[in-house]
Amino acid sequence: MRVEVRLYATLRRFGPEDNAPVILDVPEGTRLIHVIESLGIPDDVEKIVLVSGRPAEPDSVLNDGDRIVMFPPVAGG
Amino acid sequence: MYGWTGKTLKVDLTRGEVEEEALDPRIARGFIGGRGLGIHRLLKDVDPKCDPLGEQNALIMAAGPLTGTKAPTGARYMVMTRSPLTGSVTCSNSGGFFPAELKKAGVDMIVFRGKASEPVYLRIDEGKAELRPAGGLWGGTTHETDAALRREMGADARVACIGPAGERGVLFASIMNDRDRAAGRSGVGAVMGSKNLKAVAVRGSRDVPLYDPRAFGDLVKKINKRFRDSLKGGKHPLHLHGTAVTVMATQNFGVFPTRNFQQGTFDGWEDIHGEALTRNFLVRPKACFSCPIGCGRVTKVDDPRFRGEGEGPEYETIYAMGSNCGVSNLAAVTKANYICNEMGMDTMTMGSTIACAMELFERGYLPESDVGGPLHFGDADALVELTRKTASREGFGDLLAQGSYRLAERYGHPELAMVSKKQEFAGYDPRGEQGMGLAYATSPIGASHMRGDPAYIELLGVPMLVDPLSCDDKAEIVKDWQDVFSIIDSAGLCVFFSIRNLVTPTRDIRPQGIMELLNAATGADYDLAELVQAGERIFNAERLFMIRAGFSGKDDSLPPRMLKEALPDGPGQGSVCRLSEMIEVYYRLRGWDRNGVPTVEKLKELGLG
Repeated sequence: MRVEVRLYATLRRFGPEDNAPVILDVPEGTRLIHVIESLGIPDDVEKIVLVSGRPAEPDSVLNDGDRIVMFPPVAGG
Repeated sequence: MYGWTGKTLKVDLTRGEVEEEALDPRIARGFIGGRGLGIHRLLKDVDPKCDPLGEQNALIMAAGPLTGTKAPTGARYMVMTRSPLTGSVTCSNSGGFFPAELKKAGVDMIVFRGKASEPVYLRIDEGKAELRPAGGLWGGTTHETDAALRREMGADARVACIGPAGERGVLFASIMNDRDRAAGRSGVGAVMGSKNLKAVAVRGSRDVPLYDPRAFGDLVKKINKRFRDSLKGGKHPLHLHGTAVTVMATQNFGVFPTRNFQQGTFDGWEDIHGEALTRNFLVRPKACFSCPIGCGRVTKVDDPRFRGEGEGPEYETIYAMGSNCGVSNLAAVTKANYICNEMGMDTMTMGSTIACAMELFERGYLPESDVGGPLHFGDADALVELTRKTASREGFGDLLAQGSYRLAERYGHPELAMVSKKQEFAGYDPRGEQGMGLAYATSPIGASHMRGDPAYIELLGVPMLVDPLSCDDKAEIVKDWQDVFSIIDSAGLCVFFSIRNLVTPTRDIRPQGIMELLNAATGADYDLAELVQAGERIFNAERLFMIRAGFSGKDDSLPPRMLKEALPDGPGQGSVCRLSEMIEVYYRLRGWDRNGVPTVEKLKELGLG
């Protein structure tokens, strides 16, 4: 199945240089944590992770077509 | 006194006299400073039913005990008055360098009363304060006024002033300081203009006296080191992209207000995101006094249609003038922001009022002949042109100058104004963020994101993430946060830093770090319970002013769109704001009756009875 990953602000450095969305082919049953690890994002890097618009836990099982968004917690608007 | 300078300036504009008054240490302790001292004064001295633009209203500028110290982000002051936009109390906050300069000149607070017969400005040089004629400054932009007064007093002077919008009574005119920092909301600039007061220029060189300078210095070092370590060698997201970086959160949570809150996501969002601002227009980041973050944006637009230089835009401007108007042209948003800064107007109410006009037009309620042309969502040229016309109150701009509620009411559809207590929402759709709905509805100044901003905990993961679509625990969170924000504002600190570095990372954000700084600076020896209660006292004092001004619980409301029309898109699709599920619990937690009025027992407990 396919999932799409978008990284923003300080997390951009874990994505491709052209900042394009990352499209990953992953086996059924893949969990969010596997995707985070495959991008090389260390545990101690603070991040908000949304899967198709909803906050998700690292062990959530992904579905085909999921859109994963990650950004740092920021303080202020 | 320590932390506090102990001096209030009372300026009688009618008589042209300036008097000094000593600060009562008991009042200082109980109300902390800034916002707290301001509301204490308003309650004592101002008839809550006075004409906001009349002589009876007071305009208060108040710094906190940490303003002007080396406490990280000790840069803020509050402007307080009865608002001409809402009719309630307002307290509009700003940073920059002017507030610290006020403290260095030995002043905690200025209380303006009456009205000058001719334009004047207040000049404070070190300790000496006097009113001077400002006839030659009248009509000038905020940038011109700043330059003229600093030419006269010296480049090291700091200026807060109004622009033409404040002189002409635009109901959401701002008071600008250091050129581009804004006490933006609720029309504080219109009150200043109604008093014929053009500016306050100040110069001071005294350090703010500290109770225990060594302990204070050690504390500041420790806090700054912890902050630096938390960045792990990287940059703070707000330093990197400004507050505009917040677009990535609101868009992805589906609460990014679009086309007058008709949608919660915006197709053109990546064009107006902070990353686009950095890429296209950023000259350099800029920090306020004593700030280790530096979220300010010095920017420049070369596009000949929208050419200009200045500061901004912030996230709230990008929502109000961008997505909410359906405009994805960041050059146009930035240009409209520059106009607001120079003319002295709130970008949030300006953008939201144009968005409301666009919807009125598209629904056929607002005739083209009244506007002087078509007014569709997405019209970048109209955004800039109408902003200009509002500042000069020319043509249709004269109606826009009243804000969205009065505009929509005039055309028979007040329900299309996205306001609470006639003040426009911030950039968060409360249907996809339930706590924000409660915060908008119960803010004493009308809709605001700076009264216990639940966006931190509902969207931004500070100090943790709670489900934005759930109403569970939101009454507790909003109450606790409103009280702690009252403390932050009263101490003279910036929320952006305080919320991650000076409070506990718990749901109830206990103000531990603020207490330590306050104790070292003032010697007040607060314990946590007393300080938290002071925050509660300040919030209730504002509520009391609001109630006495004629408001009640029925005004703790949101427009029908928020309560009945489901969000059509994004993760919150299908949801409305379930305000009634939260508000009764909230009143009970607050110790208010069913009409939202603080009970006699609560007021007695807080020493407000």
